[in-house]
Amino acid sequence: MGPNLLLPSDFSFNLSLVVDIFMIVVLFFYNIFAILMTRQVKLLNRSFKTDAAPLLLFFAIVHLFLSLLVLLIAIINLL
Amino acid sequence: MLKTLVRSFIKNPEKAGFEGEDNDENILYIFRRAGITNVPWLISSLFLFLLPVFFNTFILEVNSGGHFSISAGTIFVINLFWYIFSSGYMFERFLNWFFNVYIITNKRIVDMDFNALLHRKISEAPLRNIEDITYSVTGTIQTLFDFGDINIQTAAEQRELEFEYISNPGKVQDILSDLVSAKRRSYGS
Repeated sequence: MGPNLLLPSDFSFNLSLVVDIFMIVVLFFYNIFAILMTRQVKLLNRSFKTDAAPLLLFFAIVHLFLSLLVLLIAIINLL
Repeated sequence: MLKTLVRSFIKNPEKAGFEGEDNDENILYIFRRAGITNVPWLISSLFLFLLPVFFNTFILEVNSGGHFSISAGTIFVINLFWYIFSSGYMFERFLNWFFNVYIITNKRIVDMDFNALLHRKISEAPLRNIEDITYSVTGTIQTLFDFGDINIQTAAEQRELEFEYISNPGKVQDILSDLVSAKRRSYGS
């Protein structure tokens, strides 16, 4: 890799903190989406009843749980 | 259950019902958009799942440059989020296909539209009020895979219902016409 003419040779910046905070904000809003999706699956299962209803609700709940888990991991990673 | 999950044409479905169904009402057919209409989002999903491979390569380049650094924990969180997001996208697209249904009962037709996470619309029309059924197949893809739209004109409050991207629309039109004729005969007798 050639010399970087824009930055001093001793310049360094830890992007992790910025990215961590950004990811926590994004994950927070994504969890809201996951909650809405779970709620919507419940309502749709009520509107249109099928034998696949429990499976779809299960996937929605697992998705919500994993979203919360990733948010928790992001917070722990920041700390 | 697998048939319920993947089929776009179900005759005499078992264990199916809908809100507002009468006690003496039987579901005769359930239609959904043709399975081929799911190909675009399946391809998008494959791309989404493969994207972290390129992203991680890019991050390695950034970290090796010496001026900027992203910790391994942060990279891990980003990857986890991306896979959760991709899974959520796939699930939402599948729900969009699964719950956009057209239900034909012995009394009426019901059109359930689920277009976005926060938008639902349910329309219905009695069979006896159906006046005209027209289908159209437009373009190369629809002709190749034999799917199209069915427009149903009614004398009900809901003047027009549209079944979009239905497989074998000619056969569905025929089924509907026969049901409407039978209903009119039973009312006439």
